Amino acid sequence: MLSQDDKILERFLAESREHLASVENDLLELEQQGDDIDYELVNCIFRTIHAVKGGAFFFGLEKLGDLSRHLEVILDRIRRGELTLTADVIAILLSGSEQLNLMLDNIDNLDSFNISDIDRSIEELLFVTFSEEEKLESSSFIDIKFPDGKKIFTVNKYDFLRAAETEKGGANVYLLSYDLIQDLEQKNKTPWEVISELLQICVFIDSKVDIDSIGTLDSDLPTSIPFYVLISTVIEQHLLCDLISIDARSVFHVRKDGIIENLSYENKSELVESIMDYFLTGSPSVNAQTGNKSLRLSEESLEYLKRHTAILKQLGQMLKSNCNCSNRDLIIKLNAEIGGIFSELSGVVRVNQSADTGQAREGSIQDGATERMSLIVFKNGSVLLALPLLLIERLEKIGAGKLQAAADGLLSYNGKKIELISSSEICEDAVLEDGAEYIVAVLRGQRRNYGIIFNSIFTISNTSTPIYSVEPVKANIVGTVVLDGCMVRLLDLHRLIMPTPVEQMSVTASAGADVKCVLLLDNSNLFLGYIKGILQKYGLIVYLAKNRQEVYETLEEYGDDVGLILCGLNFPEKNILSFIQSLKDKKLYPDIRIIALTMLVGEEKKFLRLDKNKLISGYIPKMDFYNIVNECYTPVTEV
Amino acid sequence: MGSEIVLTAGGDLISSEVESFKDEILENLAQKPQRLILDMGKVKVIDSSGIGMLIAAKNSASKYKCELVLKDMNADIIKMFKIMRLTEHFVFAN
Repeated sequence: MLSQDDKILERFLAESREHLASVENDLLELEQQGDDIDYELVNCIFRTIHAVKGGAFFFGLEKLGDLSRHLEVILDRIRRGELTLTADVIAILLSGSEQLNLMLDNIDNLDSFNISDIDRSIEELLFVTFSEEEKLESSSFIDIKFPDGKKIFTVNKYDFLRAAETEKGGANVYLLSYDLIQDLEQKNKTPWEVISELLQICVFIDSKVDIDSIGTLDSDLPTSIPFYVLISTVIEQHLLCDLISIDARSVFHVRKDGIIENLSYENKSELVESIMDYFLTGSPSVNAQTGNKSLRLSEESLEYLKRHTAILKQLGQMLKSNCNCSNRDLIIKLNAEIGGIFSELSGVVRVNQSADTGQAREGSIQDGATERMSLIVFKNGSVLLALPLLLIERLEKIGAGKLQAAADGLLSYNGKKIELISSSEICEDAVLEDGAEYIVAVLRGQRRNYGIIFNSIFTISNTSTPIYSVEPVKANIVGTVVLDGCMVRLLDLHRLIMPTPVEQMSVTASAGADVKCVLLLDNSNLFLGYIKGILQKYGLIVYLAKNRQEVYETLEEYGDDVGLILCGLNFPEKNILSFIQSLKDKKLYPDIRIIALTMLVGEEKKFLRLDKNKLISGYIPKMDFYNIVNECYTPVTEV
Repeated sequence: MGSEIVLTAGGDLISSEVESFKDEILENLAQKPQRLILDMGKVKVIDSSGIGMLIAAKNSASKYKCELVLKDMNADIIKMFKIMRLTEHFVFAN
């Protein structure tokens, strides 16, 4: 199993060498620029080094990763304006870059590298830039411990606090408590599989196996092996649990003072009880017409619950078991954000369209970031629905009516019942039926977010060529929904397919009439979804790629057919310049035109650099696409 | 009583296989060698049970004041051990 990584390792090494080749020139260019620093160029170098670092740690090349990390910190300080780019700094960066190159050529022999000199230089350099507080942190340690004093880790304070600032790290530091036997083996997972999952989404601060809890060979083999991992990640707890398949009870939030917040499932029943008391006895509002009771949680409570999803789970279960509610007499009003957290709640959620969350929702759609908006979760036939405000607004704008989930596990839409089939009954051959109405929604799966699409807004003209393409990539079909007898496939999240008029699409004009296949490269799923839908309306075949590997694989297979690459300027993750250059250098696909997609703001320099080298055929502002979508979002047939 | 014993793991250290290797290690530890070398050259995959068995073996070896050495360990498995901070508990040799 592990040897399967070899190909990826080779690719990583090749790409790293390729990237580092440009770093040296970029550094020299920076040196020549003097005080007029091109910060975009610093960013480019930063991203390159960051990529090397990430790969190095992923492949266990620690020395390579450590040096990359140190260089990355220097570059980060420069781009933040905290470190002056002097000749000495350039010299250290060049020396570090050279060492990285040497290491890449000798990864089997990394232990022979002595990088203590450069490490010392870097540390001295950085230490000068440290604030007094940081200096203190860098030389002190912090215990990661439970409130009762049980210590799990002792880590460098500076590393602990700064882990949250790295790209994959974030404001959330968690202690994950695995049991290698109970959590992994009995679920047919290997430790490596779990570690690989984690490495992709978070920063490892520390980890340890509790070997003291394991006996000797004289006794039976251990039935429990505690394994603790201290991570930092931008991902919030409820999503983390899904992404890495870990029970929420095994995820502990770690405060900045190192105290592990022991919010396990069991010992918070008191709080849940109090919420229940409030709800059941504390005068919840009652809708005079429907008789629905509703509980509005305070902002403070919502904030608290957002961080402690175990409570939500317990609350949900208690609500279900204790409330003895009929279909429509129990509704918890939540905003869309908090609604997303109720992944395990086998109850009812109605989206509270409060204005205070509208702005944030819109923002998250605009940047195409993790759109953890909306979800339908169904467990044992129960349904949970929370749609993003923006989507709801659009639905309502076009007369889609109210969406409502009912406590008996049914989702209703304008009074029509929607049944959800459990994942075990996924039917990949489901088709959309003539004349059926479908609704847009999002499904949140056990391991990741899935989503979209019941197309309730649109009338599908016929099964083979629907007006709005809902043709999914087969692998992304994750479920089937029956809506009034019509089966609807649930597609991967963000594959929102928006109707857009042909006339306004400038991209196809750039592509030319001969282009039949387009490869879309961007780091925004949502954006990819938009453009894909648009291009498909032209009958173009569209391939999507979100990383280099997918690009290479797609081109390997379909390169002869692809006539146009639409490439986000931030794609692939790091150095777009070298990526495009490598495509050209290899002369593999000389006839493919490349058009850059850009937000423009802050990216002009990068675009100009690309353009100067005549690497791309042109560019399209992303906002054009968004505007098109926004302006033209009108239903073919209103409900 | 030998001062050094070499045992070879016949294949992957996974739950269905570890029991027999465990017995073999235990029998040889009873001879109180100064050093017990586990030749891991044929091990490509190790699961949780395998890790647990190795840790238990290490604990047993300590009890017998014997040094447990993992020889020719697959680089990928060493990588996993590094991430899990297990390398500091074992001695490795090529």
